[in-house]
Amino acid sequence: MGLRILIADDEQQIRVLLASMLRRWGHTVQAAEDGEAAWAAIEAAPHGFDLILSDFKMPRLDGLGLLQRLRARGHTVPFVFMTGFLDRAYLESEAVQPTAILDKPFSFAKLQASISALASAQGGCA
Amino acid sequence: MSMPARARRLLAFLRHSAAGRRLSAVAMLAAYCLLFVPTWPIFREVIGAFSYLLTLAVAFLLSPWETVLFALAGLAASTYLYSLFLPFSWGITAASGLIGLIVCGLGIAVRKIWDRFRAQQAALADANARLLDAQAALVQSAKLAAMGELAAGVGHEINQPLSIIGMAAEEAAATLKEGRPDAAKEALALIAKQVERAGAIIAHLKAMARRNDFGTAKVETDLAKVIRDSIEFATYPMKNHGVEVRLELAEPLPCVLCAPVMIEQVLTNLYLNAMDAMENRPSKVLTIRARKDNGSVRVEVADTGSGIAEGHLARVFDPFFTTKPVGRGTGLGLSVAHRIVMGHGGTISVASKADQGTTFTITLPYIRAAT
Repeated sequence: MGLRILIADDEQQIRVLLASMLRRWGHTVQAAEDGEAAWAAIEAAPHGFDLILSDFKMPRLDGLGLLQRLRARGHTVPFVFMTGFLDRAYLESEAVQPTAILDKPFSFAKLQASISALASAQGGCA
Repeated sequence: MSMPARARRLLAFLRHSAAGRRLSAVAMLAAYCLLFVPTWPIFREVIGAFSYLLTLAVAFLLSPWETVLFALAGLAASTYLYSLFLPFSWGITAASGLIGLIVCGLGIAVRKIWDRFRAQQAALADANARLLDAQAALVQSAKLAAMGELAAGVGHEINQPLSIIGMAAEEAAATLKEGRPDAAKEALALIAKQVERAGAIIAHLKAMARRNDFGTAKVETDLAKVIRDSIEFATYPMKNHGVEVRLELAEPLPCVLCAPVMIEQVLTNLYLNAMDAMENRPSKVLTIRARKDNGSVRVEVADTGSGIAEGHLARVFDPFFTTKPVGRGTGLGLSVAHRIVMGHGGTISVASKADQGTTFTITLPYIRAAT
């Protein structure tokens, strides 16, 4: 069964390519260009997503801000950072932690593996 | 070899070699003997003064005990010579002995003071040299720290096209498998475009590396160009931070005599601080203004960041003062900026309002209007 996935990335090409591949795998995908847009999508459908794939650096609201806001409002949806230059030591000092981190650039095989791992950890089926 | 160098070498020979010390002792004995040669009664006072001067000189060459010892030996020798020609007199012997000892003491004291003065002078010169070294190292570390932050920004920027290229390649493979060659063609075109984008970033990185010299030569400079270069230099980190840059340059600006690379370093440090201050702020605007002002060119770098606490304002230019978390700031950027601006005969100051932002103002004296 496909998952409902929300992508947040300010790079349009990445949104398009990611969505295309995820749809190919049978998931339902929605994309947002920054944290605020992603938050608007979540508010519109509070239980509408099984997974959030988010860039770290984005204009307006960045990935960490989005994650903090989600957790503060009690959302437990799995949250994955997709980032190339994340200072892990910097992130470790934060109170809220992402479910996983995908280092850019990553292969779709790696993305698929981490989605499967998350789905099985959640007890759902992928 | 110059005269002072020759004199220094002679002095070193006399003071520090065994032969030199023997030579000076003999000279001193000779001086005492000359003092009492009665065949030249007219020159006795002149020769006496000369011999005392010699004693002073010898005090500089030998240790205090040696000086006293040789002065006494000289006294004995000259008293013996004196007794060959004139009847022995306790009064003359005691008087000349006393004067000799006083001169010895004077010589020893002068030498002690001189030695201490030289030691202090050497220590001062040494401390000055070390200070200069430390300052040079400070400027270099601050520069490297700034370069590192900028390079990290550029690295992040290269990751974006790389990510897209990887995904587009897989997309092309997948669409070909699905029998959609047009979609594959589109993905491949995207790859070509992203390669071009990465190339442009690499070109920027190269330009950055080229500019990483430590040029300190002051030349006639148009500050507007320096400001534009410095902004270009920081383009990627600014973009990554979502910072909007506004330039308000009242051109043409008068020519300033400066080392452009160093002024660029000052500006880059101000931008990096501004970016940090504006992290997690709703509005991220960096405004750089430049205009002619009362014999100077005035450059303002204003951000809309969190501002500097009033208690910290007075200390921002102190070396190693930083409010950034460990591992993020060196606390050197602003102190080095301050030093560089002062070195150009200019001023740098800061004004800040909590929650509204910070403005750094630099003034550099101009030499003539821009042509």
